[in-house]
Amino acid sequence: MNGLKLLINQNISFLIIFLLFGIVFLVIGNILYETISQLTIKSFSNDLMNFLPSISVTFFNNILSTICAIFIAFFITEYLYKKSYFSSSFLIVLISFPHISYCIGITYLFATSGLFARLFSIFYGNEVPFISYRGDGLANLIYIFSLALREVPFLVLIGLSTWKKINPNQIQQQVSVLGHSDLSTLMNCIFPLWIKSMGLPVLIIIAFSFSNFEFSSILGPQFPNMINVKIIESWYSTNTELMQHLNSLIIITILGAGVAILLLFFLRNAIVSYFTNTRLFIPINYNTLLIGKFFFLIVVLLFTAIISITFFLSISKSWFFPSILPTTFTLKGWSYMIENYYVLFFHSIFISSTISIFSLIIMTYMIEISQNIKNIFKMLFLLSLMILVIPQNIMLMGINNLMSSSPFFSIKAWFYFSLFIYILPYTYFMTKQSYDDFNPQYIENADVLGIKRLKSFFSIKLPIMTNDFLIIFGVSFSVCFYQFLQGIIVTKGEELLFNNEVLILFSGESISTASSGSLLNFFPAGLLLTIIYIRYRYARM
Amino acid sequence: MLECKNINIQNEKKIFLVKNFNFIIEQSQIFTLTGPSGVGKSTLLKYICGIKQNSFTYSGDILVNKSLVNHLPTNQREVRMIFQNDLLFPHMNVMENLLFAVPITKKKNKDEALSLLDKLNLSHLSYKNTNTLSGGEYSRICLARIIINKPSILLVDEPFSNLDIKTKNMTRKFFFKNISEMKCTTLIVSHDLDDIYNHDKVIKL
Repeated sequence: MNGLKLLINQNISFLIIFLLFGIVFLVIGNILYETISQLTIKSFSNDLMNFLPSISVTFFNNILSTICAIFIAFFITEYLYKKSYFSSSFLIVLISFPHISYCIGITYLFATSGLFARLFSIFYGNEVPFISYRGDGLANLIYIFSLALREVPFLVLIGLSTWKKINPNQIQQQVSVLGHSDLSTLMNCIFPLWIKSMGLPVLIIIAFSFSNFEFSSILGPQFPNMINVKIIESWYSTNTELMQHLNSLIIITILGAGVAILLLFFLRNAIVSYFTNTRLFIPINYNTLLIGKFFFLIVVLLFTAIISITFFLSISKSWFFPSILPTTFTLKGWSYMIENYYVLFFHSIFISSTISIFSLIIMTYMIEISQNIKNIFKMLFLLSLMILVIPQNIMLMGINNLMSSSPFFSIKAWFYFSLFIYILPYTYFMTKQSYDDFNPQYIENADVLGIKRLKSFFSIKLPIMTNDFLIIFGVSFSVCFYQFLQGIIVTKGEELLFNNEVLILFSGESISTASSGSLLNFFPAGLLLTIIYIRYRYARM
Repeated sequence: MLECKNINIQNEKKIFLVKNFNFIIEQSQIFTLTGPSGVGKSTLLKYICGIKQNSFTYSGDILVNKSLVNHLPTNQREVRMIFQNDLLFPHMNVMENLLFAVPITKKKNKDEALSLLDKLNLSHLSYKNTNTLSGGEYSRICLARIIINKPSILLVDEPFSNLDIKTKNMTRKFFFKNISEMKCTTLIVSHDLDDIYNHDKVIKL
């Protein structure tokens, strides 16, 4: 009877995986077939030449921002691990900061009457040179650093668990008795080990940079437009020529992301090989922690500045240049947002919570019953990797194509599915990690006491792993709440999340309304993760 | 009664840890299993319980009261075990840990738990969090937890190794008195001659 139960459970796992694999293959196959069948070599090579400036800017910016993010995250990880481990849990709140609100905040900081212009006007007067006369070069620089710093909290959080596994304190002791400096230990021994284990998060970041629309449209240089913006323009266009470009842009995006991933992995191997074979016998013990502390402060200050200026803009009635603070205040923006958008706001919270809980239950169920079947984990890993590596805009176009040719499900169902499929990899990786960290002897202990599996799950595993499950739910919720392209690509605006509305507000409404929307967007995930952070801090198991 | 027939255990390198191993322990007998470190004593005990390591290969029959239990999961085998480094559940206090081992929490069980703690000089710890316990207190509560479960077959993996001499003597006396009263069939892994003394049989692995 037990064998039968086990067989049924395992078969359900396989069924779910095959179903998801089937849909993902269908989606990818569909978009590739549609694209390749309509594309000629001549039109592709013409488009390639025409879009060369856009391709170069996109490629250069994305690669450089990822490399910057990796190095900054490495030094911050070292600092937090050694000096302020609990501050690292605070980073989870920063992860929950929406990309759109972040990009809007950056424009507020660097605008001609933004916070930096106001601060520097003390020295330069009304015309701050590097803000007033900035060209595309500076726009590129702002894009690279903004994207890099936005990804740092995510990299640091994953990097910290990798760091713990490396056991750097022991390495440091062993290397220092051989006469190496701290910097040498860090770069010759710890960095190569750390970066080798960071393959997956780097992959996620680079794939995201090739598909995101928020950064490219708000912060990206306007001339030439980045590929990510062009692809959405062509997607919405009714102009035949632009629609033709779409096929080339899809192939260019896939190839671009693929080449960037290969290049980064080649670079990683080259850097690891360089540091492993080069001895940095630096006689002075540079305090490497200072570098980490500096970058950590930059990240915290940047996020604080963004939140502050957005908040002040949301309540300011008049805020004339070069005054540092607003002179008169109003709550019109907030009341407008609450009156007009509360339904969409709560609807988005409801959808995100439901999908996150559903995803968490499915993953927990599958991992729980498949603990001895390695194949299920391999397949789940492969599925998650496929979803994360294929640029999201392309995948969602495939879902839209499939939706148009399939009469079975409504737009709503496809919209929820397209949200679910992007939560799944995060839920899988985090749940699997939590299960790997869980000491199996607790369950063995319960087993030898004759406790049934269901009871031991609810009485032992669930209470011990509550913090983990809450964090998984919080992160999944924020990932879902901040999905953006589903509303634009899959439903073409018929179904939207609150996140989509914030960008629309930014381009159409008053600045106080747009800023209120931007902050309101941060509120649910920020509040949820702050509560989880406090619980984690004070109610640790 | 516990019977093991033709037990074979191979590690991931296909080396036999246990080869063609047979024994029968009759009702309320106490057997001791000895052998050098790393020979597979704990692995054998875990296999009898139904806890397997994925990379190992197992074969052979395990019979509890003459019924084959190979196909049963650990919690349905009626075989209980005390691990070498047993764990208390960290989110429960001492009393909750003890009562978790009994199927239904009743007043009678609670009184029994208190009496067990009293016999072990641990009654002052009844409602303490498990992370405040010393190593010795922790081990004794693990023993009390299994005794309150009233097992019919018990496997014990070096139960007193973490205790100082005085506590070890007191705990050993308490433990063997209880399992004799319960008429519990016991297989105990130990290197300690004092544990082996007075047992029905010693098996060498």
